[in-house]
Amino acid sequence: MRHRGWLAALVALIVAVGAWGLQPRLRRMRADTADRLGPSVSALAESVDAAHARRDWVSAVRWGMPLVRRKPRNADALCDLALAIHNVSLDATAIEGGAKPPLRNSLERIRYDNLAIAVMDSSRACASNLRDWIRAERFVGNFYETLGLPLEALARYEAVLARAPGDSAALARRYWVGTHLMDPGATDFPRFESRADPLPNRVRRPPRR
Amino acid sequence: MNGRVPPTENRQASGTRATLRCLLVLGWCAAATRSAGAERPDSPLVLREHYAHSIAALGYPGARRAFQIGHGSQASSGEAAVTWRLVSAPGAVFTSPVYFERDGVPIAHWWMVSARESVHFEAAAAPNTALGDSSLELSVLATTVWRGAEPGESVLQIQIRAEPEGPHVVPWDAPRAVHPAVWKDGIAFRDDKVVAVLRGGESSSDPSGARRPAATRDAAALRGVAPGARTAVWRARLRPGESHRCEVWMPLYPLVEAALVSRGRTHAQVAAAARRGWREWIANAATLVTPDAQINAAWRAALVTLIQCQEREDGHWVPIGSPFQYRDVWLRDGARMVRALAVAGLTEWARDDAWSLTRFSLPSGALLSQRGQLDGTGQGLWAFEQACALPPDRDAARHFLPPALRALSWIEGQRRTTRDLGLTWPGLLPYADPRDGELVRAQLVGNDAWSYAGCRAVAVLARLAGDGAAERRAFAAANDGRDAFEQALGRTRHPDVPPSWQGEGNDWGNAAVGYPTGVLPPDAPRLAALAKRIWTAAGNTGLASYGRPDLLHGYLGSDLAQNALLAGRPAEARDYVRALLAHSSSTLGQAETFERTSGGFGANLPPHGTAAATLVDLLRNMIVCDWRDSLELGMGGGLAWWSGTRLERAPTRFGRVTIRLERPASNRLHASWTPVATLTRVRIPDGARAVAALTPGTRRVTERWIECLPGTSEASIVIVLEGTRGTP
Repeated sequence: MRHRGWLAALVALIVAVGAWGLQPRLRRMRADTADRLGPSVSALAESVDAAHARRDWVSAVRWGMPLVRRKPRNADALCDLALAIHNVSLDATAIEGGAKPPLRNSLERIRYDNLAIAVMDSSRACASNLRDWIRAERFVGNFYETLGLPLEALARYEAVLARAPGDSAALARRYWVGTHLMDPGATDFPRFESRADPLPNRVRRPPRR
Repeated sequence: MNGRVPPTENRQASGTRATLRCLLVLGWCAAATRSAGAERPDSPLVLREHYAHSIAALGYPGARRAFQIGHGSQASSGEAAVTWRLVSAPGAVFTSPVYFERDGVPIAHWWMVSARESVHFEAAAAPNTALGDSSLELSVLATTVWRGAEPGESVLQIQIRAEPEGPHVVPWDAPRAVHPAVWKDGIAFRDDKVVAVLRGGESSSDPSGARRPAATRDAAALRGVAPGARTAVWRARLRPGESHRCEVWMPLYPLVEAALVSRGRTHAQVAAAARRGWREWIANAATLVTPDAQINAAWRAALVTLIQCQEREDGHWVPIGSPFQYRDVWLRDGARMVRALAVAGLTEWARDDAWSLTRFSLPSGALLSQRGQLDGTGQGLWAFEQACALPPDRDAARHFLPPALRALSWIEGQRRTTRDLGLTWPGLLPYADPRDGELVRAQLVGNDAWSYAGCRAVAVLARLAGDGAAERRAFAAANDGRDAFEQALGRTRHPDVPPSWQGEGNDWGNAAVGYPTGVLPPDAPRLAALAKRIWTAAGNTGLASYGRPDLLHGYLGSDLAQNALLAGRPAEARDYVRALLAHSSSTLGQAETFERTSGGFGANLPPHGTAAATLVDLLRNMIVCDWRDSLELGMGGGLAWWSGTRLERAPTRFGRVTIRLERPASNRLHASWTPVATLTRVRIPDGARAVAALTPGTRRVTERWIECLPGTSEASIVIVLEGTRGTP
């Protein structure tokens, strides 16, 4: 047993030394690969920021895609990309040239809408803090609202409120959706009553088994 | 979808003058057609143009654009337009509407007529792989005939520009022109790309066959245009009866190199390819022949529109809304087109189109093509059923069942949640803001009707696929939806069926609560009241209006006509068909919306895919219907249709059938059909009463119905005549 222990320690040492010695080379290889892939992460992030700033959603997707490939678990990058994809789907007018929308038909738009939801869900899953989690969940609620699916949106806002009862944005959106679920003809600008429940008749069912 | 751009233009000429001009040109065209051999299938079918502008689409399945012919003597690819003018005529020049060919082939014909010359145009579009996978080429042959008593010079001016005059659509992918289009050496360029080519034609002998001297053509003048000119002229000195020709060739997408022009085919080749292709498509569909030639032509024209509305994407066919402005996919239109293709026997197209609709599936299972249009889930499911059940196909049903079950879960979940939330209208779908149709944010009646139809469709799919548990679940969901619907309807104070549970909105989805969704039986009194209200609002034109009384709609009334048919009021269905044809284009296309008085359709150009689809569905149901548990024949045709109607190779839920309706004697009707394993019921047409059923296996149930045992293939019926209304 003692011999085996020494042997294992020796192998571990060799591997560690070898790895330490190989590290610069591996670093170089990673850098080479990164160079072959295109701009650096920081350059991509700057391009994404600039595209968002000028509301150029097509470019934001173009730069956001490689950024997310390089930083697949970065909640911020995922959130930015999902927003850009969602906005491309919404865009009535292309940024570059002509008055045509960037997507040709509804099949493409729904594909983008689905992708935006999936990427934002990934952002939520990768969130390392409550703030990022809430942000992603709220945005998915917004996406569903934009699609015209109020019940899906309500579920997302209520999920936010379950973890952050004071989240004012989720409270406001829940109030708006709830008000219109009860009365679809209500004004687009309902007066927010913080103590009023827009869904007073709700029946809570026991969880389905 | 529904047109959001209201028609604005009026007829350009005053009523009397316009009518006279129309009659003159129509008469001349009819005469010219007769002299050219009217019985030939490729001769133009001259019909009256009922819209303010005469526009026809020359498209092809798989292409992503269509050529526009008209208004006037114009052809457009979307990036370039050619306009012909007869400048040598000293007086007025009349231009006819556009006509397609007698056998339904969409090759456009029109005339320009002056006192001394007439020009016949023939325009054909066909694919040309040498130009690209989805490109088409258009060839327009102009044949001038000198009608004057003395020789003279005929000058045809051919103008090129980016867009045609009058109503037109610029395709989604057409770039903005930087420079105006110009002719250069017989080739028209737009931004350095080739958009049209002028080709030399031939002289010809006159139609009577007598050889005439060749026309004297001024070759120098043929393309005698300075570089940069926007017009080219075609001159010829002609003697009485002489003719000469010139061709214009256009690619659907501009060519980057002039050298590629050589890949274009001659007019004869393009026209032959178009005829060959279209005849094959039409022959693949169920054949409808009635004693009414216009009905037969309308059936073929509708098929042509449905086929033109097929795009190719990701290896599958995709149903689009129209060849021009609606080159997009809507579940509400796509579902109707799937149904029409299925009943017309174009099964593979129907199934592939339906499968494309599964791409609208969201993570929750909902099918959504446009924001806020929650009827899409039910419509998509209904389309899946049509594609798999006409005729029944177990493998197809198994293929469609998984996405269908996900969509069913969504419907169940939505209804459950609106109950849990204690909404004012529980157990139904939540509010929607479709930005179309009803044009209101409300809980829409049509959404719930379609959800019901969707649940039933899943049950049918599950039964076909052999999944009993899924079938029971879907039926339970359908029953739950119908109960909630009936309860809600009972709570409304509306005299018929409102557009929304809140009572607001335009009539739209509520027109579908009988046929095709079936949430109410077609003979429900509320449906009769709804129909009466809608027909009255449209001034009893036979069609429905949309939004305001003067804006008639090309398909909104179709479901009401189907209700009437199923409720035993076929005269209403016949009136609807007659009204629709009286408001169709000269190529029997229908605009989605148009002004009742002026016939203007604004930027909402005909033909519309759903109008074509609902017409096919209605005509089919008028002859053979499988809505109920038996095969029903002769539901809608009047007595006249029994003088030789046949529908061949028509898919039904009971299998593919061929039906013949005949009247061998004045007091005798004879129906024959492909036998099916269910009861067949034959309806006696309005204007007659059944006295006896002579064929073994058949029996007279009432004076209106004959019942035939499963496996029966014919029925001979003795009738007596009575007064009638509404001949087809």
